[in-house]
Formats: sequence, C-alpha cells, structure tokens
Amino acid sequence: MVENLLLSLESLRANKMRSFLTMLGIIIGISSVIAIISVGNALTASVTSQFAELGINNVTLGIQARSDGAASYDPNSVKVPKDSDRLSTAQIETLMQKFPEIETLSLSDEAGRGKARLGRKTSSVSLTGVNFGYAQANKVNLVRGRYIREADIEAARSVVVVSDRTAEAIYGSIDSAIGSRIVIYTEKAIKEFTVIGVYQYVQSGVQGVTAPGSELETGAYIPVSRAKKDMPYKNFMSLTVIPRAGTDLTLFTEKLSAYLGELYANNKEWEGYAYNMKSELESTNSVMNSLSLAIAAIAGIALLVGGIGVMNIMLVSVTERTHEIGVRKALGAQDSHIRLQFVAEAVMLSVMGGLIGIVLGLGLGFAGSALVGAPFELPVYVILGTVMFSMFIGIFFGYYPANKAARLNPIDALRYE
Amino acid sequence: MIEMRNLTKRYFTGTPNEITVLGGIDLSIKAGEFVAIVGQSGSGKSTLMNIIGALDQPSGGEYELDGTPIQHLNRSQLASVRNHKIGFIFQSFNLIPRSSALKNVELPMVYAGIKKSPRSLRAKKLLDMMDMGERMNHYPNELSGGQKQRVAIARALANDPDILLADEPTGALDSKTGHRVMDIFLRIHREEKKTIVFITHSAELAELCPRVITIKDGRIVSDEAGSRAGGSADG
Ligand SMILES: Nc1ncnc2c1ncn2[C@@H]1O[C@H](COP(=O)(O)OP(=O)(O)O)[C@@H](O)[C@H]1O
Ligand SMILES: [Mg+2]
Repeated sequence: MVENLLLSLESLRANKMRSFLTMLGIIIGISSVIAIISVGNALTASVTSQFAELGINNVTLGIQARSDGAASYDPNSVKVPKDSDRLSTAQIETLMQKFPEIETLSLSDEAGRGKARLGRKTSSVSLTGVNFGYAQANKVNLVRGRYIREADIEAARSVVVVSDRTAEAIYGSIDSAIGSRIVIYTEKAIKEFTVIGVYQYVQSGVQGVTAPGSELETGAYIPVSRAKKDMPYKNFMSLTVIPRAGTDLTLFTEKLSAYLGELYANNKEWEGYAYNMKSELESTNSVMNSLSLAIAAIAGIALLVGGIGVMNIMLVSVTERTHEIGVRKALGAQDSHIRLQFVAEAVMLSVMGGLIGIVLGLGLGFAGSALVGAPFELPVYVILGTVMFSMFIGIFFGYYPANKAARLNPIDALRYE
Repeated sequence: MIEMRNLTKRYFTGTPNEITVLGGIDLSIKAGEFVAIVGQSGSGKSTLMNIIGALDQPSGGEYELDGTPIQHLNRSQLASVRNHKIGFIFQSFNLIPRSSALKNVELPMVYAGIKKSPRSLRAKKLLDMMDMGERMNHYPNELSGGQKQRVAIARALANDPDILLADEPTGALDSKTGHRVMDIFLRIHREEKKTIVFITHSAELAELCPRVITIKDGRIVSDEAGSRAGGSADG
C-alpha cells in the first residue's frame, strides 16, 4: 500500500502542471467548505455574544395590537394603547407574586432624546426612565456614584445616572460629575437633574451604529416615576424580566404568554405577549444555516466537478500507460494490483488537492473571521472530515478508470504503442 | 515442460477476413532445454512465445505447461503462472521508466507478495550477478541498452521461474553487446538449469543453441541442433 502511494506520488510529480489543474476543482471545493464553516462559526459566535450582551435569558413581555381584523399595516394609523390597556404597576406587582421564577423585573420608558448641557458644553443623550432592575437586565456597569434606588422611584426624584462619555464631555472628568446639577433638553421639556452616578458606556454592535460625523448618543437614566410625570401614560407597554438561574426558558415564556393571554382575553384591540431572546437567536441561526447550505451546495458542485476531473485525468493516464500496464501484467501483476495502483494515484491526487484546499480555506476563513470581527475557530474534526472526504472522492472517481486498467487484456496492453 | 499439440492462432479482422498466424504447431520442450526460435519477421514467433508465456490464448489445439492445461485457467491463475513460472525478456527492455533498477527487479516479487527486506536483498543479489549492483539506484533512462537488458534479465529471474522467454533480447543491441547478453543466457542455462526459449534474428547466435526451431508462416519448418552448440558467443 505504502509502496503504491509512493509510486503514485512519483507519477504525479512527473506531470506537475496536469496534476495541479486536475486538483483545482477539489482545491476550490474543499477550500470553500473550510472557509464557509470557519466564517459561519465566527459569525455565529459574534451574533451569540452580541445577544448574550443584551441578555439572552431575558424574557420581554408586553402588549401588542391584535392582528386579526386589520390585515393591512398602515403606518399612519399606528394604534396607541390607552392607559387602561397598558400594564399597571399593580398588575406588574401581581405578576411578580404569581411567578416566583422572576429574579428581577426591569421597567423602562423612553422619556425623549435631546442634549445634556452645562454652560456651552453639551452631550447627546436619550433620556430613559428606569426602575432598579433595569441595571441588571441591561448590564449597566456603574463606575462612580450610585444607581437609582427604590427611594428615588417612590419619591420620583430628579436624579440621573449618565454615561462616562457624557460626564467627560460636560465636566471633563467623571469624578467631578457626581453631585453636580445638569440640564437636559428634550423635544418635550427642559428639566434639571442631579447627577448621582456614572456608568461605563459600552459600544455594542446591535445598539445602533452612530453615523460618521454625528455625535454619539448615550443613555441618561432617571427614575421611571420621574419620567412618567411628564408623560401622558402612567402604565407600561412592555417590561423585561430576568428569570432565576436554572429556569426552563421555553416553559417559563409559555406560562407568561398564557397568563397575559388570559389577562387580555376580553380586550378587543390589545393582546399580551411574552418572548425570549433565545428564540430570536435560533431563528438567526437558521437563516445562517440555510445560507451556509446554499454555499455548501455550490462547494458540492465544485467537488463533483473536481471528482469528474480526477476521473478524466485517470482515464487519460490509463490510456497513456497501457503499455506499462501490459508489462506489469507480463511480470505477473494481478488485476487487483493494477486496480490498487490507479486508485492510490487518484486518492493521492484528490487528497493533495484536499490538503491544498484546506490550507487555502484556512487562509480565507482567517481573513473572513477578521472581517466579521470574531475570533477564528475551526474544530479539528472538520479538517479530518475534509481529508477523509477528499480520500473518498479519490476512491469513488478513481475506481472506474482503475478497474478499466485492471481489466485490460495482458497481450493487447503489451502490444499497445 | 512445454507440450503443444496442433496449436493454432487466428485473428478475425472483420468477416470474411481471417488471418492464421499459427497454423497447427506441435512442439515439445523439456525442462532444462535451451531452444532458439528463428524465422522471418511476421512469421508468428512472438505470438507463439506469448502463448507459451500465458500472456496470450491460442485459438485452437492444446497447450500444457508443466502438466497444467493453460486454456482452463482463469485470469488470476494466469497472472500467477506468469509471476511464478515465467520470466519475460523483451527486445525493447520494457523497464518501468519511473522506477530505479532495483525497484524494477523487485516488482515481480512485490506481485508475489514477498516482504520488503528479503525482496530487496534478492534484487540486489540478482543485480550483482548481472554486474549491475553499482547502478541499482539508476533509472532506466540513465542506463545503456546492454545495461537495461541486464536489469531486465535480473528482473526475469526475480521469482526464480522455471522458464525464461526472451523475445529478440539482442535485437536492439550492437553485436558486441548482443554477444555479451547471449553469454549471460548461456551461463544461466548452464548454472541455473533453466528452460530458455530465445527468439533471435541472428543466425550466428542461433547456432550457439543446442536446439534451433525455424518458423515460417506460422508453421515449424525445421527443428535441429545448432551447429556450434556448446561454444561461447565470444568464441
Ligand atoms: N492483434 C492482432 N491482430 C491481427 N494480427 C495480428 C495481431 N497480432 C499479431 N498479428 C499478426 O500476426 C503475425 C505474427 O506476428 P508476430 O508473432 O509478432 O511475428 P514475429 O514475432 O515472428 O515477427 C503478423 O503478421 C502480425 O501482423
Ligand atoms: Mg516478434
């Protein structure tokens, strides 16, 4: 066997250019498979980490317009729920008691976008009313001062937690921000707040990319009760809960869904919903999977073409070496010896193509991962699998020519010029 | 060793044309004989030799090699006969071009399933015997005609066959080299007691053989002793 492989290596070396051209199909096929898998992995990893940042375990619940009846979507007549349709603080408290799985409940409400200003210095902010649980649900990382407390919420105090970016823009340093007063202008109002804390702003791929040249907008958090003061609606359209560790997310989400469904059973316009990020992630994965599948199909075609190329070149090789086959048969070679020799040659050809393809694919995958901005990773079994697969191509497409060589009539082969 | 009765070989080159290459050969060669076959080009010498060597099949008649009726063997058994009983030597050497002299000599032993170390040991010994030991790692295109033929003879002897079949082994060599090769065959016959069938164009070389068979148009026309049998080619 080793003998045969060495022998076939020699005959490939004798026809370098031809061997390379034959391998091309396999090189392209294998390298694209490797590249797709590694870039796909990188993409999945990066999307997963982005979702994890947002809290993959969080369950969002809220109300939405019933879709039955008004089938067509008209952006001009987007319905706004009345306060009585929304979830009240009392309902939310009942929910907390009904579901012991809930560890933290996060409430937030947009209180308008605008600018924080001190003298001539400004910083773009989106004013958000939050409760105590919001920080945990959204992984707000406090670096100075304190976060909004229950007492702040109960008293609806005019306090604010700003980002380090805002603090630096306005005060020059985060330390001097604490305790100072700041004016925030929104489309709706001008309000004065006391800065009680500074959190670290984290750029996230999902949280809106700032247009080049435009100023970075960061969140400024105020007590939700304070935010509600300036807003027409006191109740909530949505909220986020963090379940305790070990909770079955699918089951929990279903239970919440059912509970809200009952709560809104008699409401003709609005219904309750609950969903979990994990299901979003799974659907993203499935989009990616079908994309990979499409590219894999193309790679498969390249491999098929490559295999046919191997078969073709092996048929040429058998014809060219008919006389040599005759000599070998005169020396007593069995059909199986000849068959093995040519199959080994085809395997050598395809495996070499496979190895070159792997190297090329790793290069492409590396570049692709860098582009996606995720760490490059490729399981070893993928590489082993590809080597095995190219071996299989060699055997599959090499068998017919090899068998043709083996079945040659000894004297006809020997007399062949 | 070789028994042929009314052996024929015909080729159909499309009806109604039929070429009779061998027209009823009766031939008996005993173990240890040294037989020269002479005759004009196209008279059927190679065809006869290929049938003797189990490379080709007769169209009619009977052929027994060492008591085995060759017609009744399958492909695999025929390959085995060629591997173990026969050593072929050709006019155009027919060495495998991408294999060294040593690998060429090892090849019949590879096909016989002999393990690496005894195989290369024997191949080296045979090449030494042919004065080719120093060039065992040379490739065929690095060897002269005479050297190639000596490698080919070593290869034919690899599995210690009973019969050596040489089809004009000196045909591609100048007369001096041809005589040296002829001497090797005479020596092998003398020392190894092998049955040798030797096709030649050279009347001079045929005379040195104990038995000379002349073929004309596919028939044996004479079968007699060589006039200078027992002598040496260089003599
Ligand atoms: N496959 C074949 N088909 C038709 N004719 C053949 C074939 N092989 C050999 N012959 C014919 O058989 C005759 C004998 O050939 P061969 O045995 O090679 O002669 P020699 O060796 O005596 O020169 C030639 O006339 C040749 O043309
Ligand atoms: Mg001839």
